[in-house]
Amino acid sequence: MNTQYKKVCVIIPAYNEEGSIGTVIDNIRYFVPAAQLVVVNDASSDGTRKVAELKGVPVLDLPINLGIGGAMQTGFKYAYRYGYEIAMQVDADGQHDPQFIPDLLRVLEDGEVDMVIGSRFLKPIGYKASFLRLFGIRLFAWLIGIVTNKRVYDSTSGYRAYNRLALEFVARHYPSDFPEPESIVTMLRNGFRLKEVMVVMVNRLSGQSSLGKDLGFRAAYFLISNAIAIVMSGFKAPSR
Amino acid sequence: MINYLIFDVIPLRVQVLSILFSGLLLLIIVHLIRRGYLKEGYSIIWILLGLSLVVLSIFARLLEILADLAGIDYSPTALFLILIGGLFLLAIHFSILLTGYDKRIRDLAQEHAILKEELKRQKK
Repeated sequence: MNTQYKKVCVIIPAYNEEGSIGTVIDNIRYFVPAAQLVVVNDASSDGTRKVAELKGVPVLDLPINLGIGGAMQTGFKYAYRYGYEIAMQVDADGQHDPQFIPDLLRVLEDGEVDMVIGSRFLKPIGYKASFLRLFGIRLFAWLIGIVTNKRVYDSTSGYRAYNRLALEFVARHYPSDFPEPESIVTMLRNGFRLKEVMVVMVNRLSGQSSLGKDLGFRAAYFLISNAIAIVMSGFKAPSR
Repeated sequence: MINYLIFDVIPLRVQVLSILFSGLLLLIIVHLIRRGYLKEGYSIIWILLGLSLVVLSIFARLLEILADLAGIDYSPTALFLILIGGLFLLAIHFSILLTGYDKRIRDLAQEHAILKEELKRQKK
């Protein structure tokens, strides 16, 4: 039944996620048994790699920590090189509930868009964000609207799927530090079509947000970096 | 004319010292390039900076003339302006280089990870 997912590569970027990655792998396999999984281990200091290997998932073992952007790009390069038609990102912390993977894939298979984003905000249920996070996400949506003329509700969601065309692009051009909002702008400006699909995100199983516990300096840095990146990538020349 | 450009602008002792020091700076740069500690392409700005310091300390009047052209009353200010401008260019130059290295390291690390996985699969 699931043979249609044979050409799908699910990329799982992981940094110190030994507590959750095993469950995430099992859950993905349950919902899309035919898809190929690959873990990108971003120089974790814990047993992330071991857990993934025990599960029989190929691991791309980065020798130095590159951050989420560099780690994802490793997976994109891998998926592109090995000829996968579709590449997906599912985070290793358990926030991306794999039951929605078929929803994302179905939209791609309709062929009307090149990229699908699993969005928490199409309907106001499930995900409860803090005031600051909500403000940031609104700000990004507003800025993206200005530079691309398109409404994107959940620009920081990493729960995404790409078709082969988009995969080729992100394998070559993917931002390094806070890649999610910036890559939306870059992709739209290079003529890719994208669509959001409703997903419900659950609280992470273990580990902590890349924003860290202290929602002060790092959050402000996150906000400002992303805002600048969105606006600047709006100015960048198309790179195709 | 040449006498006018060189002499009676600043105290002779100061002038001799500044010629010696900027000459030394230039020598150090050239030495570093010869030894291979400094790549030629990266040292263009350093050489230009060193050379202009030597020229400015020999022909001390030049600074006065430059300051005058720019409408600066107090000519040592012009010296600071030139120095800060040069350092600014240097800082931007370094940022460009760093960005390039960052990308190269990222590409290498990614390639490393992919090849390592491939190797492991072939060994099985």
